[in-house]
Amino acid sequence: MTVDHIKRIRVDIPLKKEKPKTPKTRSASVSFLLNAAIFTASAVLAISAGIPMRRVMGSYQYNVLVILIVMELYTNLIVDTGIMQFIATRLALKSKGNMGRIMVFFGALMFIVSAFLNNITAVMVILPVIFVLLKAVEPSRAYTRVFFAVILSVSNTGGASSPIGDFPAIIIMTSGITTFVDYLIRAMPVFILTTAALITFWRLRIKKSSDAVTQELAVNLLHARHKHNKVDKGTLRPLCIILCLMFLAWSFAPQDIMPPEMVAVLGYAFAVLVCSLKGKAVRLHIDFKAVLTIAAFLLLASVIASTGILERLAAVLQTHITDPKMLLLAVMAITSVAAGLFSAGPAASAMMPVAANLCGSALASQTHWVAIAYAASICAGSSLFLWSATAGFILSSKIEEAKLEHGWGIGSYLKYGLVNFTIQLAIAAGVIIAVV
Amino acid sequence: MNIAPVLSEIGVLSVCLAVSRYPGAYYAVSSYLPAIMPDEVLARIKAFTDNIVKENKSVIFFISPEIALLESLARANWEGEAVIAVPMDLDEESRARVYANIPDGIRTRFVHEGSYPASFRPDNGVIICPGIVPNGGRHYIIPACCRMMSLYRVFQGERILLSCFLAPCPVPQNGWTYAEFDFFNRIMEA
Repeated sequence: MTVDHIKRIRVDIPLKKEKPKTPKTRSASVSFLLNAAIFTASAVLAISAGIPMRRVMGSYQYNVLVILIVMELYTNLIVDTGIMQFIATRLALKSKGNMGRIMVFFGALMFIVSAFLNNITAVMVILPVIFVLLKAVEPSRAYTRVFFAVILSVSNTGGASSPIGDFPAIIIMTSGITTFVDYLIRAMPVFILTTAALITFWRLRIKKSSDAVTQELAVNLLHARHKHNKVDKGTLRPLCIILCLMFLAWSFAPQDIMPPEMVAVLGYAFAVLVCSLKGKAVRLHIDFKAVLTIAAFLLLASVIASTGILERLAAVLQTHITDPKMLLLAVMAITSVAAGLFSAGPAASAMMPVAANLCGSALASQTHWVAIAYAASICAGSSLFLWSATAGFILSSKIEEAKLEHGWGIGSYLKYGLVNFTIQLAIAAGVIIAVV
Repeated sequence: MNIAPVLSEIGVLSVCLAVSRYPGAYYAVSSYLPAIMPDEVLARIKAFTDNIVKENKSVIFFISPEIALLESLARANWEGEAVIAVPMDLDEESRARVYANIPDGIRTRFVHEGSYPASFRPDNGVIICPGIVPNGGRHYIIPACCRMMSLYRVFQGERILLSCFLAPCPVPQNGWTYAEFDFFNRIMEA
């Protein structure tokens, strides 16, 4: 018998079942209060405008919720194979504790992960390793602030880079103004460029640490803590194949025959089947706070769309701005400020009818770029304030919990948010001016 | 650099092994570890492994997860069972990391702090704890081990203190606490 064959590990102490990690802070209560307020306001608005709720619910985008929930569940399956921790540990080791490299590597990892998962899940997946790493290398307060500001903005750009990355992108994909492939081939390069610009800009502002050897030791100790972690390749391989097939179906299957949410559900069903056959436990935990928030925003958007206000707004804009390029830039500016003030969810839901209206009239020949402009402006707005980003408050509470940086919140993020917003909007506007 | 959490997560010998590869970084951890000679740690781990194998016990009860020693025992094709007591003050994430960080090739079982597996008896098992043997006086172990040894000192078999550093050595300022005289009935030198 070889050494490898006799490995048998018995754990007499089962790990506690993972509980939903709702932050026990005031922000959680505020978030639930906000959801209740949006549901109530939507219902009151619909009733006072004489719009039957049945009609509102008829145009409700259930498919967005289905894709969001299913992709989060799919993520659980992939995370449980141990691949994310493996990649994060390898990246930490490659960085050798160099602060600049840590920012580049984890920024890139966050971009890739956010492109496939919703931002909250992406942040939750990567944060544990980041926390262990940063605690080990003991960065300065200034670095910690810059680092998390970059991570938050990159989670937004990553989410916008693919049609399944985040809520606004899913709304665009299901709206019919563009297709999966058309969105992907345009959005991916634009957001890679934006991410590279953000990371490069902040990396140049990091002071070099003089204690490189100690940082390398810290990373080595981190590696020692994960040295024998295994990746369940037997399960990971079929899950990746299924995900690729889902991508192909999203790209090439006609949406009226095989709608995107159906592809997601079918893919997940096969993935669960694979995990069951491999004897893996299937974790059915999802963050329902995020789902509830998005459900509330969708309802509000559905009510507002039923009132016809946004069509009138689009008509007013088209009357006053005749140049299609300027019209699109004006819509981008309004959308990004709305996303900054009211966060990505409501802005994405509310402004979608305006974008759809433009695609049907003044910018009918540029619908794919309208989708990108719309996504980029939502994305830029999401980076403006801490509350604008989907994962903003979660990230803040996690940093507080990890005792990495006391008071990383709205105030301390503001200046980084303004810079990130400006960089993102400038690049998006530059691209639109160049191509439309 | 605070390495106290790492000491209780991967064990004293693994930390020494990592530190010995970066002599330039020793100053940063010197308040937690006595001086380490680069070649000494590997030789010590090898010697401990040989001694443990020679003990001819079927169960080794580790008071802290000594990953480096487990790796070495696996390489030596030791066929006994390693029991690791998990400190109760370890948070959930650290505990998950400890469970997942066990080398291939060795039978391992985790138990709660203060409990024993039924198969562990004075005739077939031995308790192992890493520590510092300074010049005279008491021995020093990490606080989690100290708490656990106060529970396990009633074990009637052998309770061995591994002398992890070249004795006699000065006791570091942080991360260690003195062991009671009846915690151990034997010291294993490399």
